[in-house]
Amino acid sequence: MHVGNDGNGSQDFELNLAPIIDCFTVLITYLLVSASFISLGILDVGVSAVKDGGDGPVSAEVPMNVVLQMEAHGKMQIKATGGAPAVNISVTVPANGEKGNWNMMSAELRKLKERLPQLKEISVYAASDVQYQELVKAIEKIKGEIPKVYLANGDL
Amino acid sequence: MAFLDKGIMRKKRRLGEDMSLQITSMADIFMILLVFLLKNYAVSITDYSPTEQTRLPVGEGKASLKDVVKLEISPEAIMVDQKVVVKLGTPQSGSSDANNFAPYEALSKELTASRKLLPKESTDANLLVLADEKVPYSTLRRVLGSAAVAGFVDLQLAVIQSE
Repeated sequence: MHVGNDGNGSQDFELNLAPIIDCFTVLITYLLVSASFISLGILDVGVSAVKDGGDGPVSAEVPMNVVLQMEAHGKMQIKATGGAPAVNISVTVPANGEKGNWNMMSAELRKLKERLPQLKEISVYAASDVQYQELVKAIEKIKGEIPKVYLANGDL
Repeated sequence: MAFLDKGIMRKKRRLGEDMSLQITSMADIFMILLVFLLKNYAVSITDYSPTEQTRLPVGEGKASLKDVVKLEISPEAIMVDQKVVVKLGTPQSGSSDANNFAPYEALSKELTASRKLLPKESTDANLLVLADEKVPYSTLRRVLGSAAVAGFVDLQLAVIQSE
């Protein structure tokens, strides 16, 4: 650091940039290594368990239950049962090649929602060999029509 | 030929003078880089990056990320907060049997222990799931069972944002 006096009482000051560049280099290297450039999105789902109702009082009204069954090779089935008045709807969504036909599935869910305005949640069942990316795709499309999605944890 | 040599020497001297490093410009560039990286740097208790083996599916998730227990399902193992709990593909895990839907005991124990460390154990039921895109539903179903046993009933499925 060089400090000079020009004779008027003020001081010339020369900033030594080399140590500052050293600090910056280390900081930037650390931040580059620790930075995460992946942009993560989140899908909120619930876990639904299928279990016995116990010995409590039995209500005459069967609650509405809407289920999306994902089968192997992209085929899907949408089933709606129960509710008041009771419904029993079953729609098959054929596969699009080996993958799910998402546009048709969304259209069918939309029609179902128009018919059942009280529909707010849906359970998703999948076959054992359905891959996670297909499940995520299905959940993403369902959320466009029905806000609450549950992943089933039992057998149908 | 002497005048040619003089010309070359003058050029070399000029080149030597012009080649001094412009540290001021470099400091400007470093300052801008540093500001950008500091803005991106997030300090959080949980590291949300998946491991190298895990390839997240692409999707459009719009929910907000919460600071919760992290569960990662890679093709080789299931990890809770970076700690390997279940090794997949081994006879002990029973993952080769597609009809085996029993929860993973080790995973249930680990998740129960993680839940006790949460600030609001009784109400906080969120679990962040980072699963590889090729994981079959049979594995995921067992993981869901294990999570439900430990009291985690709200899952946050992590996806890579599609552009």
